[in-house]
Amino acid sequence: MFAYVVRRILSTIPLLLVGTFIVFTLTAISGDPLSRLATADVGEEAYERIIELYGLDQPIPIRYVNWMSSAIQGDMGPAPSQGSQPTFNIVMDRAGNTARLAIPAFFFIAITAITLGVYSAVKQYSKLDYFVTGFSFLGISLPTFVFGLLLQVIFGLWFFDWFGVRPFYVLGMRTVASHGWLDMVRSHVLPIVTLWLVITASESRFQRAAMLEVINSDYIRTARAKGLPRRKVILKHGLRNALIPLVTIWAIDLGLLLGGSVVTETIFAWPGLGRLLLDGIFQQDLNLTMGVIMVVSLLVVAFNLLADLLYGVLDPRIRYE
Amino acid sequence: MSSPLLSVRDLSVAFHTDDGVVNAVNDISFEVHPGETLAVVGESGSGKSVSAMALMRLLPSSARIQGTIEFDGRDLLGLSPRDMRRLQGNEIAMIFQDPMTALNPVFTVGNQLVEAIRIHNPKVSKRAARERAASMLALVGIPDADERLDNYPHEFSGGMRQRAMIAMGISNEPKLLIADEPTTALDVTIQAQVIEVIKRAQEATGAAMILITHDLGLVAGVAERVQVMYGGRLFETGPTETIYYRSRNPYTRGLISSIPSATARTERRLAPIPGAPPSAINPPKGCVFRPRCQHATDECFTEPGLRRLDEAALHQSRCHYAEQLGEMDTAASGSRT
Repeated sequence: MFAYVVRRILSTIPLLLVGTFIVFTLTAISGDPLSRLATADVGEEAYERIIELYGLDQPIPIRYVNWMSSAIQGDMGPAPSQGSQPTFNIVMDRAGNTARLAIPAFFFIAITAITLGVYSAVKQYSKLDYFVTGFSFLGISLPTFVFGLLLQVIFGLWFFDWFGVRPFYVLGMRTVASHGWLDMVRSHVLPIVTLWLVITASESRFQRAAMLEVINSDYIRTARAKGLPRRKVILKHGLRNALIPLVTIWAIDLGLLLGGSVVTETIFAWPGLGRLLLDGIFQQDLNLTMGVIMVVSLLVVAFNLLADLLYGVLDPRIRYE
Repeated sequence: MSSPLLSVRDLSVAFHTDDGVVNAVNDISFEVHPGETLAVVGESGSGKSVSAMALMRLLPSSARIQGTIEFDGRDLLGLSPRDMRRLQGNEIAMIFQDPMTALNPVFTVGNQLVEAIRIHNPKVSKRAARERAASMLALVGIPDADERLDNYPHEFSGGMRQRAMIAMGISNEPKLLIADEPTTALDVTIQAQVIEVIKRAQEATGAAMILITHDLGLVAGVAERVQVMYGGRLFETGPTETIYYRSRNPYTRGLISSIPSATARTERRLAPIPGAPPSAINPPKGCVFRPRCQHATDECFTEPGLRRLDEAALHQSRCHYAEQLGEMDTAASGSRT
C-alpha cells in the first residue's frame, strides 16, 4: 500500500512536467507582455529592465526550466499584474477564498446527490423520479451562469422590490465594514447554491444509474431473501456498492471545485482561484497563470490519487500491492 | 399422509410488458410435505423459477400473482411485508443459481452469514452467531471454517460460494428450502458434490426442499417426487421412479431421452426435442407442447387438462393421450432414429 502510494506520486511528476510545459509554452507565445507598457510613456531602459527581470529574451524551454526550478522551491516569481507581489502568496490567499465555497458546496452536493439518486433509483418511474430527472436535465443543459444570474436577479432585485431587504449579497466576499459571521453567511450563500445546483444535477444522475444497477443485482435479491427490512437492504447492501463507482467522480469534482470555478467566481465577483486564472490570462501575466495552473493540476492529481485509494477501502476486491 | 407444509393452488403469475402480457405461470397447483424433496424440472422459461420467486414474494411489484400459497397454515400472498420478512430466510430459505453474484462482494462471508442469523434471532450475541456461522460452514464442507468467515466472497471458489449460500440458507433451520438451479452455474465436476452438500444440509435440518433444475438427470436419488413444467404449465407430476420409468407425457419422455448416459451399452444418439420453447406472450393454441410433439393430433388443438393416472392422484399428466402412450422403454431406450 505504502509502496503503491509512493509509486503513484512519483508517476505524477512527468505528468505535471509535460502538462505545465504545454501551458507555459502556450501562455508565453500567446501575446507580448510588454504591449501594456507601450501605452505608458516609458523609456527604453524600462523595457530592457523588464526583459532582463523576467528573462524574456531567453528561449521558452530555458524560461520554463528557470521558472520550474524556482517554483518547486516555492518561489513562483512576482505577479506583474498584481503589483508584483509574490505569485505564491496571492495564489494561496485566493485558494483559501475558493475553498470557502468549494468545501461547503461539496458537502451539500454529496448529501443531496446521494439522497436524490438513491430515492429516484429505488422509486424508479415514480413522480419523484421524474421530478429529479427533470431537474437534473435542466441543471445539465443550462449553463452555470444562468443559475448564477437568476439567483442574483431573484435575491438582489426582486426580493428587494417585494420585501425591501436583501437577504444575501450578490457580489464580493466581504463588505467594507464587516459585520462578523452573519456578513460572511450572506455573501457565501448564493455562489455556494449556484455550485450546489449545477453539480448536484449531474451527480444525482450518476448516483441514480449506479444505484439502479446495484438494486437489480443478485446479492440484493439474496439480501431480501434473508428477510432483511427494505431499508437495510437498500442502505447497507445497496448503497455501499453504489458508492464505489461514484468515488472517482466525487474526487474529480472536489479537485475541480477547489481549483476554482471560473464562471461562478466571475459572476459573484469572488476573489478566488478561478477568477485569478482569468485575470492572469487576460493580463498576460505568465507567472500568475502558471501559479494557478500549477495549484489546480496538483489538486486534480492529488484527488485522483485519493479516489484510487478510497476505492481500495470501499471495494475489498481491489488491493494495491 | 401428513398434512402438507406448503400447498400451492391455482398459482398464476403474469407480467405486463410493452410487448403484451407475459403469462409466466398458469394455474399450477402442488404440495410439499414436511421433510420431502420435490424436484421441479423444465427448460428455461417454463416458469419454474418464477413460481419459486412467487413463493418467496421476491417478484417485482409489476408481477400479477393469483391463486393461493399456504405455508404451514399461513396464506403467504396475504401476509404483510413485515410478516413475510419473518418467514424469509427463517422458515423458508432460498439458494440461488449463480453463487458468483449472489453474495455481496463488499462484505465478508462471515458478516453475511451472521447477518442472516441475527436478523431472525436478535437476541443471539454476535459471538454466538459467529460460532454458529462457522459450524454451518463446516457442515457444508468448508475447511478451516472459522478463518474462512473473514474472507470476502471473491476469495472463495464458485463451489465454495455455493456452499456458503447453502450454509446461509440452512442457518436458521428452515422448514422449507428452495434451491433454484443450485448447480447450473458450477463446473460439472463439482455439481454432484454440491448436490451432496445440499442433501446433507437438508438432512441436518429436516427441511423440506423444492429443487428446481433443468437437468432431469440430477434429480434421481435426491427427490422423492418430480414435477415437470413446460410453458408455465404443470405437465406431469409423480414419484421420481414413476416419472423416470413410466412417464405418461411426451414432453417428459423427450427430456428423459435427452439425458446422456454413461452406461448405455449400445451407442445411441441423444434425442433432443426439436423446436423451441413456446412464447409466453402468444402461446400456441391448444396444448402448448403441440408444435414440438411427435404424437400431436387434431385433438391437441384443445388444451388438455391434468389427468389422474392412479387412485391417489400421485401421478398426473397433461396429455390427451396419457393413458394410450406406449410403454416407456420404447421411448427411453433411444432406438428411434
